[in-house]
Amino acid sequence: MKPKKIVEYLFLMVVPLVLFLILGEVFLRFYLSRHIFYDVEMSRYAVTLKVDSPDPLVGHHHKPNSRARLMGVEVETNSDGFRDDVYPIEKGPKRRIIFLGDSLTLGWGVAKEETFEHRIESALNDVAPTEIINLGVGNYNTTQEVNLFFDKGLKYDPDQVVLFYFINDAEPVPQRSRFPGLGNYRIITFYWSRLKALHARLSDSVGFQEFYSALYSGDAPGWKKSQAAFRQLRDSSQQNGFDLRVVLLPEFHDLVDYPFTREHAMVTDFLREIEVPYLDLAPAFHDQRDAMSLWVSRDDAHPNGRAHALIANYTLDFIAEADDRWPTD
Amino acid sequence: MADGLIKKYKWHLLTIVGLYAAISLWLFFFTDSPQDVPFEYEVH
Repeated sequence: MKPKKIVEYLFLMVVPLVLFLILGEVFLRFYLSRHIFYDVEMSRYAVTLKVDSPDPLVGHHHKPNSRARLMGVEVETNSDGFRDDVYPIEKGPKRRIIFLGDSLTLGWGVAKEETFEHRIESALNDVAPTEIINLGVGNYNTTQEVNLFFDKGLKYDPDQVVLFYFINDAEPVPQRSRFPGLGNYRIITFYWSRLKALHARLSDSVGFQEFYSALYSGDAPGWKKSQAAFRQLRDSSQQNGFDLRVVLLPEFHDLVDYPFTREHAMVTDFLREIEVPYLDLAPAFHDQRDAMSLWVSRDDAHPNGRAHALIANYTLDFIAEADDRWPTD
Repeated sequence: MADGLIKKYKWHLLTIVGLYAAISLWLFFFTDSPQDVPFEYEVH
């Protein structure tokens, strides 16, 4: 083939692709300024608020003193990287509680004032001075939550620690993306997300139910590591004298015929065995027939503000019963 | 040289870009459904 022809073929392959990527990026940025697209928002979260942790058991944590508008709400981190106010290390007269968890505890897609953390803190404060420090970070599993507590939470000398457990907290510690920076490009995120969805639709790949259930099957390493992390946290509560409780949050796809009853029973059986008080919220949501009305968006099953309000209502007494200032009736 | 190629292949270029756009639109609508895959995150 003549060199001139080769140049022409290359031209016809490369130029339209580059042109399409540029036009697509411009169009998507315009479109997404008016619409929310879950995978793009999660990629933006990774780029704007997450950073490597020096602790490999934590993996990543939030950048301190950072802010971003994600899923249409402001997310701002304090000097410790928590989505919360700044608290002095030294404890004052208020009862101090620490919440551990993942994106649900963080309040993904929900304004801070609407999170269950904020609602529970307000309700407790109506009775007796209380402060809750929210250590929730997106994409965390139990190992990360517990080790973040050891790295950054224990110094606050809490009276109580509540770990909010979600079905995917038994996943292995997530690995760093092999392509850092790709999250900066909407067109790349769009194709990554949609091709993943296409693959799931056309192949025999497992759906979210089978994926989550598999985390608890046989010798699944993630669940074993979660159990080890729970034991570490229980031991720490005994050594440091704080009350430890666990709340199991439901998965919000099907609340009537809840598909993870067996997995929740495995978690609660284990917590009973290591003598940690727990509250399973899945039965409390059993009458919610329209599960999607509790989602933050159609493509994102994280709980919205109404779901956070329900979580706060159902959880309040369980958390407060450890406080002798709380009325017992 | 580039000018010459653009003029010569103007319609080819527009057709290929249009094809990419059509594939993107198909992908967008074909895979547009309530979340039915596990939560997945680009960590960073």
